[in-house]
Amino acid sequence: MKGINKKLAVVLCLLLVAVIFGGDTIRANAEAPYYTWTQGPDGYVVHTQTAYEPGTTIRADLNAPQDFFVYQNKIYVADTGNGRIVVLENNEVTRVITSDEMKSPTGIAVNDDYIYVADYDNACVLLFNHDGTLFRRIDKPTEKTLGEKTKFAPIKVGVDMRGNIYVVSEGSYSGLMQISEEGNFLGYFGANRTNTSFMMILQKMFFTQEQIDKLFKNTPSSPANIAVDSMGLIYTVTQGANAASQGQTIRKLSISGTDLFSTGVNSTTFVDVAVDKDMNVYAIDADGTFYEYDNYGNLVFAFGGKDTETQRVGLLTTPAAIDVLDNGDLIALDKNKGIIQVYEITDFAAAVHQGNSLYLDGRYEESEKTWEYINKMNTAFLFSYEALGKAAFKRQDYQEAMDYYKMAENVTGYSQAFWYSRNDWIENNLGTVIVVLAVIWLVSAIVKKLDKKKVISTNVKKVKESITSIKIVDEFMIMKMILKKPFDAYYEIRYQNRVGWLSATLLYIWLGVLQITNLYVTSYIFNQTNVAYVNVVTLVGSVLLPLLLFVVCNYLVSTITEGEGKFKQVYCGTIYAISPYLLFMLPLQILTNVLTQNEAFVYSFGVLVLVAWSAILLYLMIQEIHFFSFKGTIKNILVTAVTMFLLVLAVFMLYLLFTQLKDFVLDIIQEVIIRV
Amino acid sequence: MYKLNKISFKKTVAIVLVLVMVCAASSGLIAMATEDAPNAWLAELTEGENKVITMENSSTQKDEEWSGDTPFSDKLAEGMEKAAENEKFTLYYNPKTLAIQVVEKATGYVHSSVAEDGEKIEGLNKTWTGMMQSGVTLELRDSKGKVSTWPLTTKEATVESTILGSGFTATVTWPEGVGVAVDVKLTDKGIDVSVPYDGIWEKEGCKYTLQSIYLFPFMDANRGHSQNGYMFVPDGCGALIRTGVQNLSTEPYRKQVYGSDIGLGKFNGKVEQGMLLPSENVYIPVYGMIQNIDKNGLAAIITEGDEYAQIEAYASGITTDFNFITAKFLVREVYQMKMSQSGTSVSKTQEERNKFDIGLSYTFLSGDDANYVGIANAYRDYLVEQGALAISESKGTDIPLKLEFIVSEQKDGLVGTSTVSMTTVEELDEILKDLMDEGITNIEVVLRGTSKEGATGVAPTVFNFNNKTGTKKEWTALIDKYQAQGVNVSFYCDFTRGYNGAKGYSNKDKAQSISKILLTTYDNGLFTYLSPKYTVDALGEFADSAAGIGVNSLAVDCLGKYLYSNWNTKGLYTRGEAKELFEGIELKDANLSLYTPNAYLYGLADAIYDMPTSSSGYYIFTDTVPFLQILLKGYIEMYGSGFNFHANAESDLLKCLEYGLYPSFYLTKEETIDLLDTKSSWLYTSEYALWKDSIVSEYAKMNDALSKVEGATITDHEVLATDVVRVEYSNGISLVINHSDAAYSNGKISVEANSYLLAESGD
Repeated sequence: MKGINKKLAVVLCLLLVAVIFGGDTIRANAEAPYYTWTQGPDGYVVHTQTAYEPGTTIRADLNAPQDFFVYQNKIYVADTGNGRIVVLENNEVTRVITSDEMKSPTGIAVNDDYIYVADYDNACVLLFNHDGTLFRRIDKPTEKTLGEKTKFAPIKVGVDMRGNIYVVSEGSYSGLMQISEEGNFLGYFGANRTNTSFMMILQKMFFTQEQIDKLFKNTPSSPANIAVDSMGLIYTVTQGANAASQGQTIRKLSISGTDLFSTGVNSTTFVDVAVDKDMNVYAIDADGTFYEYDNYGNLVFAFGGKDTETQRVGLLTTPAAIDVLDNGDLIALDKNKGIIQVYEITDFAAAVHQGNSLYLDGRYEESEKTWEYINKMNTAFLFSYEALGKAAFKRQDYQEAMDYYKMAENVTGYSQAFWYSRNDWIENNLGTVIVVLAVIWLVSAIVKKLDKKKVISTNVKKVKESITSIKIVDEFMIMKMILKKPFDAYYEIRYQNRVGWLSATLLYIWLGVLQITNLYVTSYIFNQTNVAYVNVVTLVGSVLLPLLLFVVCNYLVSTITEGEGKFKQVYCGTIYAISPYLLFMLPLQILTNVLTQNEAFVYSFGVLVLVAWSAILLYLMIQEIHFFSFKGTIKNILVTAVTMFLLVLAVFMLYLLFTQLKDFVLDIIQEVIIRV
Repeated sequence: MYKLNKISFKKTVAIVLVLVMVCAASSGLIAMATEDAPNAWLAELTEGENKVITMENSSTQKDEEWSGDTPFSDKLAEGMEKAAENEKFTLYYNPKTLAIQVVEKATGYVHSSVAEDGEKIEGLNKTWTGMMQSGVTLELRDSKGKVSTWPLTTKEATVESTILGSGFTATVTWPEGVGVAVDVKLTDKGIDVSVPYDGIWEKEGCKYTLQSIYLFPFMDANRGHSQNGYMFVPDGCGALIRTGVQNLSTEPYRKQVYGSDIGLGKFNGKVEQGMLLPSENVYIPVYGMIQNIDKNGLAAIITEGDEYAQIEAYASGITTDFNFITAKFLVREVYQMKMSQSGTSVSKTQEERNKFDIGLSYTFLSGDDANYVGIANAYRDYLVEQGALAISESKGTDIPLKLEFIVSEQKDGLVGTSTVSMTTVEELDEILKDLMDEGITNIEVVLRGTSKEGATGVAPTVFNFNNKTGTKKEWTALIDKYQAQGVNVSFYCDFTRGYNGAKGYSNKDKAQSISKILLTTYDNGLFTYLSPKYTVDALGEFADSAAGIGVNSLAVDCLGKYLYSNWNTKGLYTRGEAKELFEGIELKDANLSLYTPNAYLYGLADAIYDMPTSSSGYYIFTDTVPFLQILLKGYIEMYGSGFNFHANAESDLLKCLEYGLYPSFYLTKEETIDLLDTKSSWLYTSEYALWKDSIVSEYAKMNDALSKVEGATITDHEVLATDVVRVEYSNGISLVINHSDAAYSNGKISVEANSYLLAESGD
């Protein structure tokens, strides 16, 4: 549920801005032309202080540069259009590397040994010495494992600590090509997965090979860019909705090729990725939006945007590359503008990095001060609650930890803290509980003993009888019978008219009320719904409408198929049939307040039992009320289901027609206003 | 058919040319490659090659020591006739083209509307040359919607001119049937140019519609990077485009004064979606051209028709070789008429001409006045003369502190809405007492959400109180108590935007665009813009109600920054009429604080909140200057934006010191997270307990510096070194602010890194 929620956040973020932030806008003191966002509660992103302010804009003589690499605070730019490598140091060009072997450098990586260049037009990888001389040209490897037909079209290149070269080859669906320094093909690495639906499997069974080739290009998307961190982990970004649905837009690949990165907030157009020493991940997409994630894939900041008609410092038209400098500043390369833009880290973002770094090292209590500062700066900064919760947990302040974990939406953490807190309670109060229970038992025993003439118990009995003699209470009492002897109960409903409209309607209302108590009574561990986003009509309607639809359809179907039940009987019988749910759901909801995740099965099993029980009783109800055979009942249920489906379809079609009509009429009115 | 052939022929030629060029280039490359070392080589870095241009325009740059010569223009162009003369200047004009030149008698310097003389000007095509030479240039739109430029010289317009008193008047008639009468007068500051509304006529049945007018667009323009000067652009707090350096931009600067008219549907889509911050407005109708810093320059004030003026600035290298800045007057605007629900639209132009006179006043600057401070002085003199600005009395020795409180907000519950109490009247009492105990006595309190509707449910015509946070009686008592101690309490209000579901306005009060569509933001509209008439009426009504409980201060949002036309037939207002209406607001004994107001409301504002501190940061800009602050310091109290939102607490505070802005904070008693699911969730930090220490320490820092210059005006703003600025005040005290990470010393004064110093002038 949480995952879906977060994914929705991305899609909905733009739309929800209105709801969440439309009220007002903050005039920040900063010069940034964009808002900065961070992960907020409930899967939404929220505004925060500027994390990076646009700094210096650098324009060297670059022609459509497509990549750069920062090495020892020098920027090595692949000046693609000019077919050269330009090295910038302190905003000065200190070196230009050219070679007749180099035509269109599109990717670049640098380590202590060499400068690695992916040359797209020449279809090769070039290794330059640091003095600028060409060391080696690597053409398409001859190994069979590469695949003879495979195109070798390097667009980006990366290199790990062992000197292995990773080539992003255009249209390579098998993953990155791992090549040794000598130019030997070592194998493919970290291929993206594909998405195979049930429909595709069916089609593959029946279609000819030709048709399959034509229909599906069910090949995984090839990565767009690559980065390598200080631990030797490989990061790739992949574009496209397919990659997004597979959670592969950003991947962090271990040596064995497993993906260690998962995030809910994504872009489908990432163009480059970078990693800093604290494993924070920075990515930029084609819209010029920057995404910063922490080691765990939590969104830390998102900011930036596309420069459309104006040229504003800090906005980009065609982002090509991103990297992070030692001091925490970001730099981005804009291909069309041919500029490098520096984004200066603010004190606030630096504090967030410090907090993350301490947290990553497990120094939770040490990080508490920093996170308190961050929490002061932005109370909606979700991860601050996680960190503060962890710190409070370490301090054994479980109550506080629970509060923080609840804000952080960390159910597991909350449950753990609650477990400890419950333990504390039991330890402190076990004596009292035993004493109270003992006293109650003692009192009732004494009363029983003293009440030899049964004065009290007869009186109690009398009161009980006078209450049950009230008509409606009597009607409710049949629920007890339904649980114990359903056939007898249905007999009374059918032949003795035992229950009436009123009591049944009250039970329908109670069913609705149970949905609401589910929000308020059920503990946080078992229900994380935020009341603010709940529409009471949809909530109650989503349960009551299908049930009522069933009642109506069942009645209609049954009258044609020789069912004997009257509408009133179907109406009353249906709601009485789900008595187990009506009776025991609330106690179950209350029970959740003393349960942790460890005992979650108690709740889920309880719900399962109630639902199954109700379903069986519902089946029996249909059989008894309409006087069907076993087969007849099954048939009746299936036909009812089909009828329900058709009815919904009809309503939906009518709705569509009416909206069309509405638009049409409005258009005419608009036209008339314009013409007249 | 013939035409088609011609085009394809041209295309073929172009392709062949490109191919030839590519071949030549590649063969050249190959030749180079084979000539030199066979493997690889390091290209020799020669002087001038691989030059890197860096630009950082968020602060003011130091004026470069100019090594080149300073051209002194003293030549009169051909065909000039003397039109008028006074003690300071002589005005010449060309009766054929209406080009003008003004000679400064004291120095002999010639200000000119033609940057270069001659039939053909290098680097300019026929139209641009015509524009430079003509006094008047029109933009006309034909029936197909194509807009073209019509300088009077190239389109064979007839010019009749007469010398009259202190200047000349001329009538220009284009053969297609459009005419303009222009008046130019010499004053003791410079010249005044005017075109009255009646001075423009269009013959009936004319094939063209008049869209816009340029007057002397190349006034004081210069070519290339030959002069150490800059153009002043009134974007945000002010920006410069230096002419002595190569510009990074490929786009000119174009922006309408007081923002685009949303009544013509001109919303900024990206901003509407919430991704980008809106770019800064042009708040003042002033621009300037400094030809040589501290030597010669020009300030241009748009005195009439400012709401229909668009500032345009071109740096050398953008379209032409010239640096020039001008105002284009929008006679008609093109807009998109929405045709159907699905969003198809057609491009149309306004039928009626915008009703306005054009008034453009040039002040010539020389010597120490020829810089942005001089331009500010010239504009301030004009405003004072107009009665729009007056020196404000200093209220005390301590600077004021603005605290904006969210009192309550409405939150959607499962059923209906409930009140989220953020700061009750008792809690506010405690907070104020607490701060006064810390020695902060000069406090401006702004209250948001005292009413039942909460902070965003404006109900302007209903003046009520939410009893959960404080009854009318309790608020009155609190306000009385603190106003007696010098704390000023005001209500936040916004009569320009009506939130959906808010009471107090009806359909007839909602503004409509020219396509008769409600002015709302975001498709389903969180709020809708209201008619200007309603805005003004509601303000008056609210002020009366507030006065009833002893509050005569109002903090009015949006009034000052939105100017739009309303096409709702139940309250038609043009942009000009709306501006006039706002200017004419009169409130008895009420003090108004306005949020980032446009210049026409300076007369109304007792204080300005959310003062802009940056420009929009376009590539074309080279500097940001605190022009608005230089203009207004000592005249109107100015407050910075909420300090809560500063990402760099220290450096942002120094910037406020440089800009002379008072501190301000957003506060609540309760935890801010309570606002999360409300319409006020834009506020993400505000809890007093968390912020108290910052308020006390940051106020103390600001007060130490700014209290010394209370009531004084800024007389100079000078960049001593990169990131070191000296701001001189009229009482002889200077603030030297060092924004850099290194200590600064010039022998006389030394300032630590990231710090400031108070100095006597002359130090």
